[in-house]
Amino acid sequence: MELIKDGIRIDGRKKDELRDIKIEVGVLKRADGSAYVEWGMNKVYAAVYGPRELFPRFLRRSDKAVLQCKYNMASFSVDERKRPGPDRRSVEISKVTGGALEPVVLTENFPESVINVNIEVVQAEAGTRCAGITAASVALADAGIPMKDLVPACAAGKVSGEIILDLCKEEDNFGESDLPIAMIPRTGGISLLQMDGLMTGEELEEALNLAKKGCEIIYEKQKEALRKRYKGDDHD
Amino acid sequence: MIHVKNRDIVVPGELIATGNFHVQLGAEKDGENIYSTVVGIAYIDQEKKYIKIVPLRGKYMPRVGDPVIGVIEELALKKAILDINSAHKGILDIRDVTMNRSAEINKVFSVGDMVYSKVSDISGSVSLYAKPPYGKLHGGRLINISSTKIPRVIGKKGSMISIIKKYTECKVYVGQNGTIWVKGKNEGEDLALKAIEIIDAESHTSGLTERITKFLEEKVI
Repeated sequence: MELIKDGIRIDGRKKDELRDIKIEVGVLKRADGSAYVEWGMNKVYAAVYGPRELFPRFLRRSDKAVLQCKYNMASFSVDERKRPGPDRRSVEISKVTGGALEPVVLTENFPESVINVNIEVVQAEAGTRCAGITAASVALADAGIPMKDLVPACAAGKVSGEIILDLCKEEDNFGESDLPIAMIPRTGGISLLQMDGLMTGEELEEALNLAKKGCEIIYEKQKEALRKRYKGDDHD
Repeated sequence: MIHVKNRDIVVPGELIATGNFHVQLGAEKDGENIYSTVVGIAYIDQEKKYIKIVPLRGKYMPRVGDPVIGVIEELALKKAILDINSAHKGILDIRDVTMNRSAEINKVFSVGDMVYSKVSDISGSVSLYAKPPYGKLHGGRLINISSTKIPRVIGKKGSMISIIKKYTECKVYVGQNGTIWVKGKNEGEDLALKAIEIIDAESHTSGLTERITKFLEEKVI
């Protein structure tokens, strides 16, 4: 199978082109903050609760809030039914999502409490952890939790020997390498960096720069979505 | 230098200003630059050199001296535990309710009672105080709104709240935690709750007091 032909990818995109992204804020009324992200064929909800009381008590921290992240895929989110419940993959993604968001959330404002971030993947098409982190950071901002910055996430990868942005399902499955990152645009810091597959040093650098560019586009979309929520009404 | 307009909606991480400003709320300094940390409305005073970002949403964070309205969730031996719409529960000791030393908490309160109280201490747990003029609220109705919008419900020097009281002929108690208690005639209560809902939805717009006055005038006649 040819994944890239004359610089055009299998789904018709250019090498440095993202899939279509739509971000909505405040979609779940019961949650303190929520967001919905459609990223290509990915459909991801994020709900934030808190800060609220944490049980069991021994998990509490006297100096800061605990950020509990949970990533879950619906059993119908992929072609073949996914066995519901946490598995090795979703436990890992929950952990790295927490790690990606923790540096920006000002948890020291809420000692002895917990902030719950729930990410629910309704439909999956490669790149769900990036969509999840993107949605979760918008949902945190929507919940009114103070944070240093929003966290956009985006993947780059190597397919058929070429470095491309935002891998789709086929590219993820049959490509050589995948590199999802999450960025803190204000400082230029990176709070998530994973890779599977193999890349040379130069390729890694190239992919990293490409993924950062993708993050910047997503960052703009996040800000736009947050503003849009309150824009309908006038405010001189 | 200022990078946003006064009363603009800002998002976390947005550069507000560069230079020597005093940050009051909702922003943080990183060297010379001042960045927003919440989704809110930026208020910038160029002369007094201060920046304040009023959050549009967020949980109530207790502060000593705040009047709050809580609902009793649980009764212990000598104290009541109240839901005050915050990250922590409020604790109301019997000694902070009545002078009567032999009073028993379950004679004074029952689960579900509404209590108008004051935050007296936040070290460790959130302690409340409910001696007069604070105390149990009898009858009436409660409404919960976002705590960040309470200043708009009260208005400048209580302008908004006195308008609501005047037109609806209701008693209105406002808790800083976003809980508001109203009591009056049925129609008056309906109207007051409606007005508060409008304030909640449109708190970030200007000219709100006039609009609420107009709304209440129309309904009352």
